[in-house]
Amino acid sequence: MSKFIALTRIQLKDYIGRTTEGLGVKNRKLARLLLLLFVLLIIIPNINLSLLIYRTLDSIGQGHLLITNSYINSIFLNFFFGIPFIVSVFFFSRDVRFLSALPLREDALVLAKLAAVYLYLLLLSFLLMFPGLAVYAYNTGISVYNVFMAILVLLLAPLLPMFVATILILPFANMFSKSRHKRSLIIIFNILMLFAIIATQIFTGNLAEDPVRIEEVLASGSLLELLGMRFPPSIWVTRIFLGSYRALFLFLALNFLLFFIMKSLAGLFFRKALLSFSEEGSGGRGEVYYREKSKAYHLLRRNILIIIRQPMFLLNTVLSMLAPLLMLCIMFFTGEFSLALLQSPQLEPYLLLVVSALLISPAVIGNISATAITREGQAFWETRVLPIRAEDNIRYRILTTIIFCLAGSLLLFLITLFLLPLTLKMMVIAVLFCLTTTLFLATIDILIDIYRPILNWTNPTAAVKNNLNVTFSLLIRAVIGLLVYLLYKSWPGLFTDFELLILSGSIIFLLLYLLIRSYLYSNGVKRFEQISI
Amino acid sequence: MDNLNMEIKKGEIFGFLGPNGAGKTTTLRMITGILAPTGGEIYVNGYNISTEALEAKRSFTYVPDHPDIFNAISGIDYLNFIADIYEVPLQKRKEKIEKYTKDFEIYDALTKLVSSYSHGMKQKLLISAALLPEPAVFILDEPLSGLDPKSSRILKEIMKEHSKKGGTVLFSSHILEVVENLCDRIGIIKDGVLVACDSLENLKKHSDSSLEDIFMELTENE
Repeated sequence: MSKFIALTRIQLKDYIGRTTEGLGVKNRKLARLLLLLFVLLIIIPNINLSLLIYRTLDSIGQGHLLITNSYINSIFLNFFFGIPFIVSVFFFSRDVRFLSALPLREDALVLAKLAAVYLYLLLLSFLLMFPGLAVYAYNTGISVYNVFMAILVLLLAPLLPMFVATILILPFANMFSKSRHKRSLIIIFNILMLFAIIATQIFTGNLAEDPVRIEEVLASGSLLELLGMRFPPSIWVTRIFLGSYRALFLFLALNFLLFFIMKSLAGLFFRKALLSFSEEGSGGRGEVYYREKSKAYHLLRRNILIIIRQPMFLLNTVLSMLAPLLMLCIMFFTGEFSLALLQSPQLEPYLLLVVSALLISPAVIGNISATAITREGQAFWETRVLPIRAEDNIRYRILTTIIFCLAGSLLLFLITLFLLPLTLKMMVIAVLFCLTTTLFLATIDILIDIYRPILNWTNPTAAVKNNLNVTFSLLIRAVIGLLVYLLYKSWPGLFTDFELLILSGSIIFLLLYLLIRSYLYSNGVKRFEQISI
Repeated sequence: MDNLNMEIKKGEIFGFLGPNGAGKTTTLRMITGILAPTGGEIYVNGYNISTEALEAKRSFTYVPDHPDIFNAISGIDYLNFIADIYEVPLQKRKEKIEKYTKDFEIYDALTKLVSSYSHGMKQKLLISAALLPEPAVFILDEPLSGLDPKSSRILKEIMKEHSKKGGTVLFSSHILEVVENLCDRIGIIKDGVLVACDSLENLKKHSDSSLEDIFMELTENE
């Protein structure tokens, strides 16, 4: 077996093994069932959306643009998810130094590491593209050629965003590796990149889904040509399904070209970025000091630093906190929102709902507590051996989540003060709702991690992103959302007085918090003390 | 582990021996509360590690075989953290930090991030931190691996001194010579079973062999 194949196999085995371990399900059948459920949960709504888009596009005789839309979505999301994964796998992975010492060609090492990224993106491509392709095939007729091409396109779809992301990361990583602030620069780079991607996503989404805009564009020429000019691979993929061998040739040629560019840059990538980035800065500053601080200070500081000093954790946390703000900014830029709209009289009755939803968004989107123990990884033994009460150990992890979430809420609150004409009463009610919701979610999430801590991870993405704890945490929010929806459907009268509704919500979350808290500090503590490393 | 029963007396240096995978680290992890035993009880300094965890943990400090610690802080941050957790007064911590880190020659690196330390430096930092609270019991897992000869010697002296003052030392090691010269009693473990637990003199009573021969004989696969 060639060294490259052996290395790729071990990387893939390691990735699959750790992902399975990350699921935390020992029963293989149950694991498969959970995976199937997860796939269906994403595919079913995506099929509905694809049907809607197809009908809209077909009404103007452009049904094939569904393929363009699916491909563009897949490319952008692969790119978005690929960047942190590539950064994590290459720059913050524990095995880089070990692999560097092996007698392997540099390009083999880089490409083998990319194989794990490819596998992850392939699953994502399948989830995003398959519904579009299936809906198109269902409406236009299935042929052997189309099935074969669909498989080919699905298999090749992750390559373009993966290679482009890797090639883009190279000069940045090389530049940042010499900087003292390399960790924070990576975060800024990721946020800017995300900003650009979401903005483009909203733009293309609008273009493909809004018939009025399509008509406008059609008036200025062929929509397919227009999209093709902006992003030619999307038009090639679409034309492949229309039977164009030229498009197939161009699409294959592009992927081969990118592969060879990547292969030829691999050595440079390895030496200039990977190795130099792995060199730890000594950070030797200040003087030796002796100061007494409380245990609470140390535990809180430790938990905060675990997030701040690890770029992937910080990125994940910051994005969770700032996601609503980011979306708001992008919507302003793309014209979805305007200041006039926010201050219009029609919005006034819903102001309390809007501000309450905004304030709780960091706690709802961020699930920092769900990975509070996992984030510590192998260093978790320290707080287990030290004379620290398990209750305190848990308490300061929850407090860390609350601090981060409330910092995000405070920022959003300050912005809404400028944007929305809020009354003092609205502010008090919204803040109260935010506090009780944050308290409840931060507390219930840590229970998930207490029961499913994953301390043996090789790269930080595995700890905070590819972790079923996060899915469970989101499931809790989904269940709450569903209950509110069912309540609305059953008793719509309850939803007429928003002040009463939000206040009732605050009381319910407070009661739920007290209930969960009492369980956490009895059974949860016992379970925490059983966590093995 | 399989019905492991043993008692380590106050003021004793106890060496824990066994082939790779025999269960030495698992035993030490159970004693320190990192791993929960499926059955039985463990007492440290008279406190049950499961039911009186806090009191038990105040009685000992532990140095693991792999110095995996939170490494995004400086060495001095780490030492102050440990000193605060074990409530070591300011003056005492200053004296001890200076003494141990200068002895182990890491004082000048204390303001640097732990992530920039070598394996040996991390080991020395962990040992210095474990010595700060003057614990009743000092538990070390393979403490000499990664240490340079000078530091190994210093650590051995510290262990002897600690024992003379009435403290207990429990450590695991692969280096038979160290165990032979340092320990009052030796425990030999194989496949989770304690196959021998006695002083070197008593172990040698049965045969005229060296500790190496006794070790080989007891841990040989049948």
